[in-house]
Amino acid sequence: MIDLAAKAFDALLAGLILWLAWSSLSTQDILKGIVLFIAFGLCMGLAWVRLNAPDIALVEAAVASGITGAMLLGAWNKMRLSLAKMRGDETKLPEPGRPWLHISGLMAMGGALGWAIFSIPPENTGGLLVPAMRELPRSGVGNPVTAALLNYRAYDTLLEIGVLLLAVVGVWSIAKSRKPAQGVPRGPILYGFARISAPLLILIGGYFLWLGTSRAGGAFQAGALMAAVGVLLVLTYGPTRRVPAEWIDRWGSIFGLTVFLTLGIGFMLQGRAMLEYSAGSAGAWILVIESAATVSIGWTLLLLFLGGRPQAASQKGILVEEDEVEGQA
Amino acid sequence: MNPEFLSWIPWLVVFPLMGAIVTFTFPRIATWAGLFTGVLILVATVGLVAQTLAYGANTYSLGGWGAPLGIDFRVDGLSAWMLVISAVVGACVSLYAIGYFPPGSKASDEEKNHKRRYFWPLWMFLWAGLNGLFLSNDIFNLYITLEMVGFSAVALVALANSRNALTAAMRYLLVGLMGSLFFLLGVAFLYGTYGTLDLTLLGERSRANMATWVAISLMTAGLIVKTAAFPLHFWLPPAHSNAPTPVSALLSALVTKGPFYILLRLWFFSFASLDTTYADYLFGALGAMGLIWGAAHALRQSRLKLLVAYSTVAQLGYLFLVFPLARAEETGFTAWTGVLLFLAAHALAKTAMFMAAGNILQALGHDTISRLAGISRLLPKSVFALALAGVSLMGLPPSGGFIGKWLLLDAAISQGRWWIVIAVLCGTALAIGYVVRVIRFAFEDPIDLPQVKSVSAVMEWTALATALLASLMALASSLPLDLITIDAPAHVWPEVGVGP
Amino acid sequence: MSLDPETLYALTGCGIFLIGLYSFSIYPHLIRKILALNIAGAGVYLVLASMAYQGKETVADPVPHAMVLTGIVVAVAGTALALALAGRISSETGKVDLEEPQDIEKEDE
Repeated sequence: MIDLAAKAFDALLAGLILWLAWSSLSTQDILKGIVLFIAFGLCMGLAWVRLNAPDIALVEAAVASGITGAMLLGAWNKMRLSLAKMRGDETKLPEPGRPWLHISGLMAMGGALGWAIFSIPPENTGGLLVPAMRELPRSGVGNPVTAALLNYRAYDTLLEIGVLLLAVVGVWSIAKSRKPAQGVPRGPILYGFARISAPLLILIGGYFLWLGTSRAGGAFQAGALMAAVGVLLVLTYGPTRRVPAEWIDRWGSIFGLTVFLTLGIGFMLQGRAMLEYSAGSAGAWILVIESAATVSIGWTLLLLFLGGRPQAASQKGILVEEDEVEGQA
Repeated sequence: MNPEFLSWIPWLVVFPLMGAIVTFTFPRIATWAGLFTGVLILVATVGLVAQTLAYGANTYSLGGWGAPLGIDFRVDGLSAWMLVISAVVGACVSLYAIGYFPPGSKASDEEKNHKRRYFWPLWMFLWAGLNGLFLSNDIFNLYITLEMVGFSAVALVALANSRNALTAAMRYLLVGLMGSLFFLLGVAFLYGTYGTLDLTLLGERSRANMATWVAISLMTAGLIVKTAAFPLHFWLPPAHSNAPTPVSALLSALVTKGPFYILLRLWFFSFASLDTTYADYLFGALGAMGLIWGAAHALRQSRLKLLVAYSTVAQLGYLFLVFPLARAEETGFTAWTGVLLFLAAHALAKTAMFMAAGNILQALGHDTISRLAGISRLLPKSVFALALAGVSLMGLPPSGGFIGKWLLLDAAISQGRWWIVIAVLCGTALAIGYVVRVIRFAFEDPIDLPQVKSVSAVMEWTALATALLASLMALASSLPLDLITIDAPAHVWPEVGVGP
Repeated sequence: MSLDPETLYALTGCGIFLIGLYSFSIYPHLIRKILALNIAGAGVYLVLASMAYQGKETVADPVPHAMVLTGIVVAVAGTALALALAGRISSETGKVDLEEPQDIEKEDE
């Protein structure tokens, strides 16, 4: 009976996810599409839980739908404003291309993908579970996902933190940071909410970081929460207030990669392989790396949300209107 | 295993990552820090090659775990060869960039400072991604390096900051991201089927079944988009021609080779045991069509940088001929060697050609081919570089391009694949056409010499030096052969002595 | 005989991937293309995580989970880059889609 209910729930959830994906992309209104995308992310979170992947559920909620959704909304707003200024009216959506050719191609592809899923030989589905659990005591942490991220496959994570830094460098090279949303009324509720939730979120973030060594959680979840605090503060007070100096942003974003890389080299200079922790001290080193990574991930995600290089503050502490300078730089 | 041997491998990724951090954090010293990193990478590459020649292929387990649980680096002849190419081209482009993004100009010159400031960290990330890609033996790790290469390449194209460059960068990014997702979906299927991400273990376990075929088809489709092989090359000419010159050179010479290298790994190493007859024909046909289509379009261009970009589409076509040709038992190794030499020759020649074209563009303020008259008197070194690189692209002796093309033709003739022979000959005729057309206009006597802006000496000399490297590569071809043979795929292993 | 959860979610993942791919190819609006890439990516992650599922009572294979986490972060980085470019393009050209590749042969600065 419970089994049947679980199956029905899975089927409903799968249908809902597919429907949300479809309607998010096919709606006429881009804004509605983005909101539906955020809802899609939340339902995906349920699917992760159903697949015994609580770590992914946390990151999905915080990063994939939270930060990405906030970035999409911000970019959409900026695009709308700059177009309205240029044309004086809402832009009409460009017409989509002819779909039928695509649909027949996709049907064929869907058939092949479905067939492939059913043809995966069942004897191999164990994957790397057995070696991952066998080596867990040696990995220095209790959560196998953290062990995979920061020990077995730490090099992936090193490069990934590199990619985050790269994205900041790339975004800064392309655009200037977003102008503060003007004329948005910020009521006392928002201020009150920010004042209470910001410290709370930071606490929860720290807890996640600590928790990650033994259960679901870790640097990504904690970093995403830190970024969420940043986004909340930016939305509440606007980026005008106490804009950190550009060098702080730079150092904040390189911090994680620098610590990670330095330790990796350090282990190498001690005669071990790159990123090979010394026996017995893996747990401590992982906590060091995770703490540094949390700071940088949070900082980097916030910088990515701001969407461009910091602009020089004018005398009054208000950001220079970006449209005046954009395009010349 | 010799412990000293192991130590060079990770530094090839560590140095450029360190360079990226330093050049981003300290913009004032970006140029010198970047050049210093380049020197370190060259040293590490030389060390790696020397040790690979002495001790053979090797595996380096990151974190000490080893595959399948951990990630391995693997260095064999192919990856060492690719690392050498990226080190040499990277060093040449870094030198060129000193002139192109001049250091220490006035503070008021905001745009110049902006470009120099961001060029270096982005280029360092690109270099880290490429080196990581050539070293990695893990398909998920390859995905991350692909993204690292792709993101930095896109931002570098956008650095030109023109409307065309931004649009080209956006198209490049969107196409690249979709290509990566195809690759990643393939990785998911392979992991589900074999329970490993390691290329070597996949090679041991691979069997023909639907999941495997779907997986490698998805990965191949993604990689073909990223290589810009015909017919998925549409994004390449605008991106490569609108980018700043050093970036154009890097994209054509190195960035397109990264995904191609993964294709070689998949089809000649991990999944060589599958029956690849039809896939090989498909690759060969696409290559043959691409090399003719690209060269024909290059011939029709009115702008020099676009001509060079279309020529890249054509030259990528030759690389794909390796798939049908290198499977043969007798002459497979000839084709394998030919393509790898061709790849290196193209990387160097195309770098030189873009540099020369960039010098001409900077001097004249335009690069319209029909208005080049007189440039050979004003920029003799650049025009000479253009001509030398052109000789290598055409494949005339004694250039590196000649040896590569000759070996390919040799293999095609002895295997009786006349359609390949005809395609290569047509492509060569068209290449002669487009190179000669440029040279003819460049050497035309003008009625009066055009006004030109000065081009820094570094830019002129680097272009010339790179072109000389491309044409003198032939003289050093025994060293590449020794390197390439190390752990070449089993079925292209030479039965008898080979060589030009 | 009904579907195991892992098969169900793997199929769902493929479906999401195809929906994303379809919208990516037919809609020209840049933000919608970026949205489509994110949704297609989510489909791929679902396929990956379903490969890790070992049944309700067992711990799942951690390696694909680590891959998904890495993939999500890389996707955010790519999205940020794409949105920065899209913003610049719309403010330079006044359009929300990419211009058709101009007849490059005729293009002359």
